Amino acid sequence: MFPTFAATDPIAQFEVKRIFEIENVLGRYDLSFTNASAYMVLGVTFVAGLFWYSASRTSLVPNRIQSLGEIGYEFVADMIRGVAGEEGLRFFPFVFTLFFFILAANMIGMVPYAFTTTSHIVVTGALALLVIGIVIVYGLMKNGLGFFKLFAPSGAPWWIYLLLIPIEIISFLARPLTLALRLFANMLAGHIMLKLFAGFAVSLLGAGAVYIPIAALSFGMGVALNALEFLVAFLQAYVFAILTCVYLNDALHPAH
Amino acid sequence: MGEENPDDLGERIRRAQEARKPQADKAEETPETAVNAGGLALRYGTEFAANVTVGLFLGLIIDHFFNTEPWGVLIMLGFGLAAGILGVIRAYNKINADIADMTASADDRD
Repeated sequence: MFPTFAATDPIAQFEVKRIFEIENVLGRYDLSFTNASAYMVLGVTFVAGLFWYSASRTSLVPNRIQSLGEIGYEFVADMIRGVAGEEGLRFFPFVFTLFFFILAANMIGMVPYAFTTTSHIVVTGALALLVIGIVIVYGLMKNGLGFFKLFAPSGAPWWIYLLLIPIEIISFLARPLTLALRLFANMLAGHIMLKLFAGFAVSLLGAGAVYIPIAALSFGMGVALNALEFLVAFLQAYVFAILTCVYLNDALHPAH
Repeated sequence: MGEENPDDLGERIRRAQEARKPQADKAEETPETAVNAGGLALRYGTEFAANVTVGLFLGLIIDHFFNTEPWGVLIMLGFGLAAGILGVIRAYNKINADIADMTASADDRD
């Protein structure tokens, strides 16, 4: 990457760089610690530290940091109860971790010069596969073969099933893909847009005084987009978590 | 919080209990889509593309293992397209229901 372009290159921010190398694990796997790994560790540390601190000195009348922890707990618990009922609460630790991991990754990504781990489809894809893996394994464990009723909604004439079952199977298999794609695409597109508008402003200012009004327009757009991106960062974490609840609900009650 | 009238505690408990009831019909709440058109486009787009892609790959896998080229791809791609359209219709119905919910609850508050 040419250093002169790196300042305005909208894609440069997504580059994965190795921090220290751990190559040839078992002869073929490259497990190098990269900037992506570092930001994931940072996100996990931040969330864990926040909740550990909020739970460490509890009182009946909560202080600020404790109420933050309580609000976080209530928010996720209500979300699971609302979608999957009391029974879904057995997945509370999973959904809670998932939601706050994605939220932390998205929010850390909003810090200028930070790396956004969720803008890489490897990360979102791994999370989505984890979700769908749990749905399949738990669904089969709990319902046995009854889990496959998910693919055949009751109350249709038999010949409809010839069409319906393949379509439902495809819809089911497409779930992890949409889950991963949506988070990835939102974060990627948002960060490219931010960088583009900010980069425009800088380049236009450099081009001469005539362009100052356009640069100001571009800068204003960048500021507005920044606000929108904060909303998107939260919303995408929320959407990921609530869709996880919906899919877990299918594992709990496949026939309906 | 502190300034609220303690007399309405019963009312607040009732509301909190109400909120805890499962609402399976309101599942898959995705307010993202009601917020901006870009999110809406992205939602429909990924829904359709993902289903078609899955159909295509299932077809390729079937062809690979059963030597049925090109029928597996042709048929599964058809199912993929159908699933994609179904996915878009489901998303669309869901979004409309969400918007109806939102306007209804906004009316309640007035």
